[in-house]
Amino acid sequence: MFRYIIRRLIGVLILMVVISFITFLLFFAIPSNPAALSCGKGCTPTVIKATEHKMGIDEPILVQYGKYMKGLVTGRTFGEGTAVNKCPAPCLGFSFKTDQPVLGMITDAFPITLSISIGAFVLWIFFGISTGVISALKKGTIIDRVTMFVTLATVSLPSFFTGLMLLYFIVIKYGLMTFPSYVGFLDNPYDWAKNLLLPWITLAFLFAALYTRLTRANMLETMGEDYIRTARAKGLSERKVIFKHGLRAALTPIVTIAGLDLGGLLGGAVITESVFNFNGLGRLVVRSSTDLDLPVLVGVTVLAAFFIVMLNFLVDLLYAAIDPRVRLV
Amino acid sequence: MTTPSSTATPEAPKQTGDPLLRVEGLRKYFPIKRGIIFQKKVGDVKAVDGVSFTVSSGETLGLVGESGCGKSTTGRLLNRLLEPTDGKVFFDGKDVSHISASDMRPLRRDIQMIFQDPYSSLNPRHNIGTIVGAPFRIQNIKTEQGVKRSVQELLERVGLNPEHYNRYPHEFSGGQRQRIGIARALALRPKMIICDEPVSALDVSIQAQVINLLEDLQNEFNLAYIFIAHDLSVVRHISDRVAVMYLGKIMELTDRDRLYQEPVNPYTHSLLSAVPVPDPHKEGRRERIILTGDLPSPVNPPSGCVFRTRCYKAQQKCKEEMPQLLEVAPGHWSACHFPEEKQLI
Amino acid sequence: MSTAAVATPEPAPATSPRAFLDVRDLHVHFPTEDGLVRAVDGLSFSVERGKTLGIVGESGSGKSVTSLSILGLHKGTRAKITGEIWLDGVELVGMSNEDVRKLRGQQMAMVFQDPLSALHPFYTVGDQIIEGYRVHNKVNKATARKRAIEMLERVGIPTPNKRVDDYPHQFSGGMRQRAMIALALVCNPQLLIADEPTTALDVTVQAQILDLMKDLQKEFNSAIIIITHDLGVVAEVADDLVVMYGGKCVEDGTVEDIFYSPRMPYTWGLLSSMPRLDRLRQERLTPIPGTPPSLINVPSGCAFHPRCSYKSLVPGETCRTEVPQLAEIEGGHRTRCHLSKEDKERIWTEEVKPKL
Ligand SMILES: Nc1ncnc2c1ncn2[C@@H]1O[C@H](COP(=O)(O)OP(=O)(O)OP(=O)(O)O)[C@@H](O)[C@H]1O
Ligand SMILES: Nc1ncnc2c1ncn2[C@@H]1O[C@H](COP(=O)(O)OP(=O)(O)O)[C@@H](O)[C@H]1O
Ligand code: SF4
Ligand code: SF4
Ligand SMILES: [Mg+2]
Ligand SMILES: [Mg+2]
Repeated sequence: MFRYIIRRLIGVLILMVVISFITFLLFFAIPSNPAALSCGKGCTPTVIKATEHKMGIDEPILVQYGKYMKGLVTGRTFGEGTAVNKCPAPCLGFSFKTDQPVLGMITDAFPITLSISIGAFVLWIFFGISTGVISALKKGTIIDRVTMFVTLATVSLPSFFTGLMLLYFIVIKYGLMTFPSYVGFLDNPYDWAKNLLLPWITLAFLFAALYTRLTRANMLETMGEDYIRTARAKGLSERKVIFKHGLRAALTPIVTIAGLDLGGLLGGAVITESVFNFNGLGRLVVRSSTDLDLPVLVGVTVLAAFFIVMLNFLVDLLYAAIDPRVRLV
Repeated sequence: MTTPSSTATPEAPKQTGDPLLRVEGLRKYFPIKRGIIFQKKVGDVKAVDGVSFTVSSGETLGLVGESGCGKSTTGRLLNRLLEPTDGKVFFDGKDVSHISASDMRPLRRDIQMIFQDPYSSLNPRHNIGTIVGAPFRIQNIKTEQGVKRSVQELLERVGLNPEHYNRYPHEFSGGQRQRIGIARALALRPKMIICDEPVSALDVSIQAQVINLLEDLQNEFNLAYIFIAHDLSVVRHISDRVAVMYLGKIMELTDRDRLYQEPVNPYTHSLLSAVPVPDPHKEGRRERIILTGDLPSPVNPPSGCVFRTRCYKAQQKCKEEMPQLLEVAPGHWSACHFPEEKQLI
Repeated sequence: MSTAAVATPEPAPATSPRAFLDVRDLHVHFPTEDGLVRAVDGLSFSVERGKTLGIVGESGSGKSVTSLSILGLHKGTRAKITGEIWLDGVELVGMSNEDVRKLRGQQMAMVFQDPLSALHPFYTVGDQIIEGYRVHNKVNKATARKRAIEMLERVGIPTPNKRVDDYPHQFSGGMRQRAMIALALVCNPQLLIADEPTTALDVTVQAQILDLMKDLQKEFNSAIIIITHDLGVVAEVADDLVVMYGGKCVEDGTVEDIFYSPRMPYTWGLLSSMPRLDRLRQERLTPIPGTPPSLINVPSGCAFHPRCSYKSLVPGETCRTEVPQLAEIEGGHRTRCHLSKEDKERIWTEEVKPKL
């Protein structure tokens, strides 16, 4: 078990290097020149050259990558002479656009994305699974059919639409809330939750519908299994049959999907953040890609990939804990 | 290329020379690998471990044994769905054990396969015409009367209505689906068909229909069958010779009648005595060898004789020395240090 | 549907149950989109304690549905059940789901065909047995665990105190079926229903399991119903036999009756279509022509008539138009066939038996 974890972590590390390299290649291979973009009109080639040098993009790509990786571990210094820009240890470079350290931009944005994702996750897991189970147990009844219809409609609603509708009705038309703006959890937990409520609902809405359908399908399949029949034949009460024997098996596949969905969101809930004007990772990515702000893009992409890979790993561990047939080797 | 409608002449004498299929020391080990990025081999599943036999045209060789003993793997090695780890397969005098994918084509024509599960072995989205005609298309063969006509003839031959050409597999019963599988296997007039548990999923009444059909087709086209099954009564009915397998090895191989009347291998004895017979009075009187324990894992087969952990006759020698498959009487092969002498039945 | 019989009980002697398990005129119908599935259509049989009843028939003839109805596992589904099931003097069809539940596992238990899918993959074998014991017995975990180990030992699992903590996938096929039997027997049920208990197993393991079941029956004196399509298996373990076709019993009697003097074309067909090891090899098998009926469109008259080669011996169109009754031949041996008693005897002795 311990050896498995170590081996997996080494695997994660290698994978991250590969991903970062590919990202690096992709973004730095973009034909337009960020140096030219950043110095505006009336630029002279010499200025561009100098900017390129300052940005560190005048060197061959392998050298750039090597320096980037070295900067991650030991820190890095940009520029020469008087214009030196020191960047301490886990150095992700400086934004081309704002000259801010990329690390700082990410650590500012990340808590916002984390807050949105985790809250929404809790909501959609709770509502998705419970309605899914009820729907499966009441299969064919009016409850089930209404649920299936509503979820089908919901899945096809884009989340910016849900978000905008919430904003329009709750904030603008009826004034039940002020326009949400992010408040740190540690600053004021109550305000944190209050301000995040609408983004949570927006994001959870879509996912809850998906999870309802998924849970229902899994639950129906499980309740048809032979071991459920065995449980009934033992004389167990229906409650025990459903919750002890049915639910546990039905939810196992959902663990995997939930883990990956959460991992994906931690890299930025782009649409929800944009609708509510929250400066999370998602918006950071959007902004930096319009600005061709390469260091930021690489930083966020690598971080997003890291979450997906790590959650994948956690899901595997969790799965093995739930399903004894899975052996970690 | 000959047209597939040409059949063997009825008066052709039974070959006495080389058998159609000769297998020598066939082995298939499936490696067990561990590790995520750097995989290292930690052992082998010895699914087939040194198997030799021959099959002639028009003959049926039965392959019996408990589940997991390597019957299907042997079948899949013969038509090269799997690559052998070791050993040789000669088909029609040619060494086909390691031929390349391009040389495989004629082999795929000559050796066909019928599977156990009549439900999953037919693509539910294709109609019967497409399924049965697929071999013509894959091998790019034009028949004299056109593919459709040939397919309809085949359907008729296996006892299906040729008008079923456009129907889909789910519209047929298990027995009918098995007939569809047989028609598909027959399409290219193969010389040999490997039948992997072809009747195990069928009810007794239907099972007899399919067995009779297989026998008729064999007589008509001089087919060789390798008939894999775990039902010993069915195997006795259809086979000319029978090989009994245990843990990847052949324990005994001989004529049907000899095997069922005077088996010499203790494993064959145990297997035969375990079959319940539909005769309540005899049931009470029969002496029965009940094997204890389970089949050992093919990853770590016992030393010496593989059967020794469950054998009622096992002795020290069985642990130390692996018995060879030896000819104990003409055409009667057995692998055992202490053969049984008493008669069965 | 003959619901009248249920509403107004017949005169006293008929309602007082004679046998330990007495199934009378059981009908189980499933309304489906394609039509009404008459899975079981007027089935009656009885089993005494210490005896084994075999039920044979082709797939889809209604064997499993029968066993699930006895356990009350169709309650609360769309299945329509009529008739009577008397277990030890208590009628089960009219009983509430909750009351039947208390009998399940306690008075009557079941062993299923595929032991891998019938055991929950996420719980240890021990936990599953313990759970079954504690539903019906107010004992603490430790006592129940002792009982589980005892049961595993009884069904022949080596080192039961270790294997009790294994998961089903860590057992071999035969051991899983043993564990399933241990689970079924943990509360000492008086009725054990085994639905194809050895179909998924090798013959060698089948012999072990059948042996075990015989031993256990001697020990616990329970009534056993064994459902199978293998005539060899019933010949070995059963005392009485019910042959089912198209949801109905077409012949019943003792195993001797049915193996040595069957009196019904379908039973003859079954006996002559199977190759047997205890006879000289036949040149050719005699299959039953055609396919088993769909239970949505059961053939009119005798359900077997489309496949029967003796129907011409019955005058007129009777086989096609009139459902034959289950009539006694002699001493409890009954058949459902229009042929005359003489014809039945003659065909068996002159035509069928010599060819077996
Ligand atoms: N819940 C259900 N709804 C509708 N039809 C059903 C249901 N359960 C069983 N049936 C039908 O009832 C018939 C009898 O089924 P059953 O499972 O008893 O057959 P069986 O004799 O046990 O066959 P097998 O040997 O294949 O298990 C079949 O036609 C089946 O399709
Ligand atoms: N692809 C595979 N990888 C690993 N083991 C395999 C594979 N295929 C078969 N085996 C193993 O080989 C042995 C023989 O299998 P098989 O020939 O399928 O048995 P059977 O006699 O039931 O047909 C079994 O132990 C099986 O688990
Ligand atoms: S060699 Fe020994 S163990 Fe093997 S079958 Fe013969 S007697 Fe049994
Ligand atoms: S009633 Fe008629 S059709 Fe049915 S089994 Fe008897 S003879 Fe055959
Ligand atoms: Mg197989
Ligand atoms: Mg069944």
